[in-house]
Amino acid sequence: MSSITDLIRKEIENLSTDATRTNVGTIVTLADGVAKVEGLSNVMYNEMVEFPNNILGIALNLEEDSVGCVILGDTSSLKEGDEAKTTGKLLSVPVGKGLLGRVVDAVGRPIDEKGPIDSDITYPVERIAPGIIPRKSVSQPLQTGIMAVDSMIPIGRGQRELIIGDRSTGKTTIAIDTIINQAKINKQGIESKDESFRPVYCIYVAVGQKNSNIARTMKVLEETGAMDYVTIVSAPAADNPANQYLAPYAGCAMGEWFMENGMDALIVYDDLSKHAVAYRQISLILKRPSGREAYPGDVFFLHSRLLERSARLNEDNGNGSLTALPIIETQMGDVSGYIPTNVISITDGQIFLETDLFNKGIRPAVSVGLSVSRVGSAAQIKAYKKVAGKVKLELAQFRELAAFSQFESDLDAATKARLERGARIVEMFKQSAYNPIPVEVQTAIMWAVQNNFFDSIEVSKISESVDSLKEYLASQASEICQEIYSTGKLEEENEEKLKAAVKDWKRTLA
Amino acid sequence: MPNLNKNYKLAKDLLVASLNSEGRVEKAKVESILNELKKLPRTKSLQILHNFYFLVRQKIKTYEANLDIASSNSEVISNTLNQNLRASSGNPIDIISSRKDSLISGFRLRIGDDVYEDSIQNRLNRLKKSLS
Repeated sequence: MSSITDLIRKEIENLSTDATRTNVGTIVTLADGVAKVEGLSNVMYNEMVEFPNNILGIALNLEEDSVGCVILGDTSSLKEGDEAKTTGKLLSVPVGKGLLGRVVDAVGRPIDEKGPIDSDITYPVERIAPGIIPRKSVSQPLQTGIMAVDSMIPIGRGQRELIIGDRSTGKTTIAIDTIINQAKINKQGIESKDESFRPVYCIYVAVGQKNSNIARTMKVLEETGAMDYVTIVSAPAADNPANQYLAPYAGCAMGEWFMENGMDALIVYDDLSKHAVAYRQISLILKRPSGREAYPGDVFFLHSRLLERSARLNEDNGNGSLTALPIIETQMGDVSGYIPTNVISITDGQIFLETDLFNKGIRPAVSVGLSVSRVGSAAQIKAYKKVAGKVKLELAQFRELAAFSQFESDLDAATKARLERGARIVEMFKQSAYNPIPVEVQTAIMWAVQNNFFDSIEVSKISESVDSLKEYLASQASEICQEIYSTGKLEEENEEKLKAAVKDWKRTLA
Repeated sequence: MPNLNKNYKLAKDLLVASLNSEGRVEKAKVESILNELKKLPRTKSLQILHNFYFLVRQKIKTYEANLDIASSNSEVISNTLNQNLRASSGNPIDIISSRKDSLISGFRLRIGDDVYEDSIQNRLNRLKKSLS
C-alpha cells in the first residue's frame, strides 16, 4: 500500500506544473479507421496523434488543408468535431529481451495476459536501413533444420529469403520449423557454455491471419519449447488495416535491437501479400492515386524499405544480424503477380513451394527448379558443402529425366541410375512438420546417400530408413555427429568413422 | 490535380484581396468576391469556394482566440492575456472568452492550431498518463 502511495507522491513531485503548448486539430470526417483532421499545422509525417480516450493515430497524409490519420484502435468512441493533438513522437515500440516469450500487438502492447512488458527501451517503427559501410557479406549459416532447404537453398544470417507458394503448401510450417530449430540450437549452444556461441532470437509477425491460426502457431512454439526465444507480433485479420500495415515494421524494430546490440535475430513476416492488401486499403481510403491492381504507387517501397532493414553488420558495428523470411501467397502458382515479383526482386532468393508436390505427399514441397539462394554455399558449413554440393543438380536432372522417361520404355543404364538416385533423394528430403534435423545429422545422412548406402534400399522404404539412421546416429555414433557440429568439417579420419558407423547401421537394417 | 492546385492558388489570391489594411478579413470585400464567384459556372466555383472558405477560416483563427476560463473574474485574465499577446505578436488579438468549470482552475487559450493550457484539469490528465 505504502509503495503505491510513494509512487503516486513521486509522480506528483516530478509532475511539471508549467503551462503546456500543444498543436491541435479537429476531426472533419471519420471512416474505415481513417480520420481526416483539420488543423495540426505542426504535425510531422508518421507522427503519433492523440485522440480523445487515449486513442492513438498516425499522420500518414499531410495535405494543404487537412491531415489523414489512421487510427490505431477502436474508432467507435470518436466522432466528428473531436479534438486531435500532436504528440511530437514518432510511433515507437518497446524492444529488448523482455519481449522474448511474449505476444504483442502492432504497437508493442502485450496481448498474452502475462503482465506488462519488461523493457524501458523503445525504437521507432520506421527507421532507415543500414547503409553500405556498416554491412558485411553473409557468410554464417542459419540452419532451418529442413534437409531440402539446408542442402540446396542454404540461408545465411542477414539474408532475406522469400518463402512463396499457393495457399496450404506449407509456407508457415517452413518458417515455424526454422524457429523451432533456432530454439533447439540455442539451448544446445547455451548448455555447451561455448563463449563463441551466438544464439538466434526470433520474431514471428502474423499479418492478416485468422486468430485460430496464430493461436495454433503459438501452441506449437510453446509445446516445442521454442517460445522462450520468440516474440509474436500479432495483427490478425480482425484487426484494423492500420495495425496490419504497421505490424511488420514494429517486428522489424524489435529485431533491429538485437542486430544493433551485436546479436543475431530472425524475423518471419507471415505474410506480406496480406500486408500489401492492408496498405492498399489504407491508401484507397486516404484517396491516394492507385495504380496496378489498385495498389498505390509506393507498394514496392513499402516492402523494399522493410526488407532492406535486414542485414549482417560488420565487426565495427557489433557483428549482429537480422535474417528475414518474408512469406508471399501466390494465386494458382503464379509467381509473376505484382506483389510476388516485387518481393522476389527485393529478396536474396526464394523457396518456392508447389501445390502438385504437396498433393503428391512430397513435403516440404520445395520446387528445386524455381527455388534459389543467392548467397549459395557461402552459408553452409564445410562438411555439409562437401556432401551436398551436387544434390541440387542431381535432383534437377532427375525431375527432367523423370518427365522425359514417361515416353521412353527402354532406358540406358546411366539414365536408370540417375532416376533411381533422384527418387531416393526425393524420398530422403521428405520430412514431417515441426521436426527439424540438426545439421550434423543431415550431413551424415547426406553422406550416406552420396556414398550409395541407400541404393540397395527400396524407394518406398527410404523415409523409414532415414529415420532409422537418425536413431542409430543419435544412439551409437553421437561422437561423430558431435565432431561435425563442433568443427564444422568432415575430415578424412571422421569420414572413415562415419563409414564404419553407416556400414554397421546397414547391417542392423538388413 | 493541376486544376486543384490552380484553384488553390486562385483562392489564395482571393484571400489576399479580401484583407483590409490591418491584415484582417473584411466582410464587405468577402461579399463582393462571393458575388463575383456566383457568376462562374457552379462546377468551377465550388472548388474555389471550398478553398477560399478554408483559407478565410484559417486567417480568422490567427487573430481570434478562444479562451476557456474556470474562474469568475475572466475579464481580468482576458485583459492580461490580451496585453501579453499583443506585446509578443505585435498585432491585436480578439479574445472570445467563455466559462468552463471542468478546467477546475486556470485557463485554456486556443489561437489557430495552438493551445496554451494552464489548468488543474490538464495537470490531472498528465498525472493520469504518467501513472498509467
